[in-house]
Amino acid sequence: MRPFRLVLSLVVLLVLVACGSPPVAAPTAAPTDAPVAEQPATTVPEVPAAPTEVPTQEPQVQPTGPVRGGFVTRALTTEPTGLDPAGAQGSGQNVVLPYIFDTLVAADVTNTTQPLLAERWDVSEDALSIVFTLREGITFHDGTPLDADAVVYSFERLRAPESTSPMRASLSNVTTIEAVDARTVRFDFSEPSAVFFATITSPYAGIVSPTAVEALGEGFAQQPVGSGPFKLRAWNTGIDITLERNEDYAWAPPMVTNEGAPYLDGAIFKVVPDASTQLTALQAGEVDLIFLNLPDQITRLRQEATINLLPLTLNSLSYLGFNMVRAPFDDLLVRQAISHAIDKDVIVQAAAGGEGTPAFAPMAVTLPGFDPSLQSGELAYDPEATTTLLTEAGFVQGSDGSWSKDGTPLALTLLTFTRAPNQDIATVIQAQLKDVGIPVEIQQLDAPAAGRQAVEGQYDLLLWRYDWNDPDVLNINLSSSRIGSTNRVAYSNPEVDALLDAASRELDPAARAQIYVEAQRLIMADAPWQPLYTPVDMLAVHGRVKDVVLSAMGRVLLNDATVEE
Amino acid sequence: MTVRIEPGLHQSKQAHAPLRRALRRARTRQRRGLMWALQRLNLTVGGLLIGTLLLTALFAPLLAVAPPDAIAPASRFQPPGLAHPFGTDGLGRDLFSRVVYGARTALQMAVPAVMIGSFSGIILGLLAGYYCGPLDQILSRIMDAWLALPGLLLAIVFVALLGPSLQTTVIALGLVGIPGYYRMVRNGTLSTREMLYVEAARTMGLGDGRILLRHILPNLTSPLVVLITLRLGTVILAGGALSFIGLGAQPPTPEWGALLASGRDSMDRAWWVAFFPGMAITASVMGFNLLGDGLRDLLAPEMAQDHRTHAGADEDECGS
Repeated sequence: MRPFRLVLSLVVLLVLVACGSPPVAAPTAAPTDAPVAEQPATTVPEVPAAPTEVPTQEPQVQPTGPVRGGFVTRALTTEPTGLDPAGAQGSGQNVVLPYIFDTLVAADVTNTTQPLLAERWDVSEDALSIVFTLREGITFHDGTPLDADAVVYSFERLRAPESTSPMRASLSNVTTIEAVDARTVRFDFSEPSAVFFATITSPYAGIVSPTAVEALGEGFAQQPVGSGPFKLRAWNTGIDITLERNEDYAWAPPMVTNEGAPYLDGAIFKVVPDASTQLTALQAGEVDLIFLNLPDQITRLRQEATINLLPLTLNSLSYLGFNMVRAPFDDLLVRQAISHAIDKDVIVQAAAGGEGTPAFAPMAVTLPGFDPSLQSGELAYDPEATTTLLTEAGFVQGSDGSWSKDGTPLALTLLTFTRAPNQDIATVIQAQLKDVGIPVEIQQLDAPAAGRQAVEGQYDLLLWRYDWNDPDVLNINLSSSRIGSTNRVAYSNPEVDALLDAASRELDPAARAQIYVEAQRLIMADAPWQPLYTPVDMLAVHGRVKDVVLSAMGRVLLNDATVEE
Repeated sequence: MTVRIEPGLHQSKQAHAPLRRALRRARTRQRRGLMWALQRLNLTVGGLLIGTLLLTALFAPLLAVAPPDAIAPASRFQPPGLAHPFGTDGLGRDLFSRVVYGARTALQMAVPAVMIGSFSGIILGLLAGYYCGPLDQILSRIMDAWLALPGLLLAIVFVALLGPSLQTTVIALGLVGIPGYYRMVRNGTLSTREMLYVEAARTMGLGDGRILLRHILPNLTSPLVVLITLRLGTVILAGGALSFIGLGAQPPTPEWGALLASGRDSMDRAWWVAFFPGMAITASVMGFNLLGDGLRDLLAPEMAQDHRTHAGADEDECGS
């Protein structure tokens, strides 16, 4: 008997269990479909109407006022590579940037534009010119005044020819950006842009200190200087990022009640890549805020009294895309056939643990342009239709239930990225297609690798998800001009292109929504996607943190927040 | 072989003397058998565990209470009970059936992997140990370098190159195992080739191939059997590790490591999802280790404390 080896195998097994990994979970912001991650804001349910006193900037605390001091800790799944708004984009940057940098304007719960650095903005009659008037007395963390020139500098930096920022494309119809006087900036457009406000409220359109950028060059990404409520204190690569209060802050957006410097001493962003570890850390009180997208974690935390769950409106859709330019899905009949084999109710119940609702339209339900009447065009669960349609498409079913056409068996690959609950959804789809006689091989890769493979068209079925704050998301994902970048299914319909293009120029919200409904009818008839369900995402907040305010795309405002020690 | 004694038999001792002797012999044999088994506890326990594993894999369709891939949203996370002996997972699949079929997957992974590793390792080891010279120099250096890299890491690299699947895992784990067999066989060959009977065979004009396969290899059978048994356990564990991190068996294949991973997130509210696959891995790895140890005591006691010290006796240099 060799106890040593026994112990060894047990230890190895334990280590195995302990260092679990990605397939199970990779939370935090989804690989958003495009550069920007956007708006909508929700106010935390229990946020009190307003503190009775507006806190002074003095460090003294009135007995009844909010308690100053303390740090709020948030878990980050992905560490930012840099904190320059014009630099690389990712879920980490998305979370941290808004605290350091302010944008010209902000968006609130209802996706309405709210003042931030600009107190006023005037859109010309023809919508070809927008004039922003900046607040007075704004300074960057380094003392540089934030004036019209700084705004122009920041935007010119984003759209410079050498800029790698995806914002460059979003600003393509801006012809000139001009500092009219110290407090006035004018944007001129070649054609009206309905997506402009969604663009400039993104964290990647934050206004940067020109002095700091000039002084630091590449190093700016490691030592960001903005005008936000917090400034960078320390960054321990791989461990955490610590921000401290910007004492001079006095220009908070109207979504929060505290216009001045935050009550908190600061905020800490701790790098915790694993979802279960994040949850454990939250329960242990080591972190205060985590992003939750695992249905079972949500269910579990619902029972915890010390943790508050705030639903996030990320305007998301989980969908199954078909590779439009490759057999067998270059045939509409096959796309329809497979769509009919998918039971979305089972997906929601089994894979998403009942958290979510089955979807039928390409537009997320929370976005303008979603219309319940579109359900009439849904390719609902109907396995018999699958058989009929496949036969019509020229496939022959063998005695063992499998399908083939001209001797080629019908077998599919399903590509997705490792983020729960993708694996479970993929497994359910695999089982449902097996039921109709179609074998499916699941390929699960990390998000960047899966994205590359999708763009190269190396798949049959694509299980994907978008989170976007503007109906322009259809343009991004399905316009033929985006084939090779964000149109991963290579869908091309000139009529749809024209409609989506028109919608992005239509400034009347009702008319714009109507164009999207029309576009969706055409899209649904072509079936490049089978929409699966609307996922539910939550922000879990430890009970010791009070008055957290949610804003656009699940962003969290900490201006009002206080902590109990 | 139990022999029952009729009560009446004891009455007349004289008449039944031969029977009593036979009985005593039988009892002694029985006791001896038991003693034998007890003295070789590791061999017995290991044998039982591995026997169970083999039978489970063989009769999986009969044992399983449900198809291992049947999704049932209505019965997610059912605790162990009559309908589901091991409970159900997040998709409502019966865990008992998945664990039972997992035994098949484990063997489908371990057996070919060990075959790839042992076959290549043995051939290369025989050649290097017998011919020595530059061939041995080159092969041994390669194998040393190979051995210096952590096996699991190498396997991950292979999988990254070839794409994750059960077949890739088998190949990767097979390749990773080669140096172990190589060193054992090479060193064994090295010491055997100088033996008189080998020289005699050579003098008789026997071909190298014949000498290697008929005279040298059989000498190494015992340590090889032990090593292969131990490797089977290691490979099951490594395969489980690869699947655990998503690089091994792909869904919906029931594989213990993958099942373990799927249960990790629900550990505090559905312990059974991770527990039973974990136990299955533990039991089979332990089984192979015990069996290997037992076989070593039985077949190759000279393998001293650790088969590694024997296999790794790298100091033996080629004489010529």
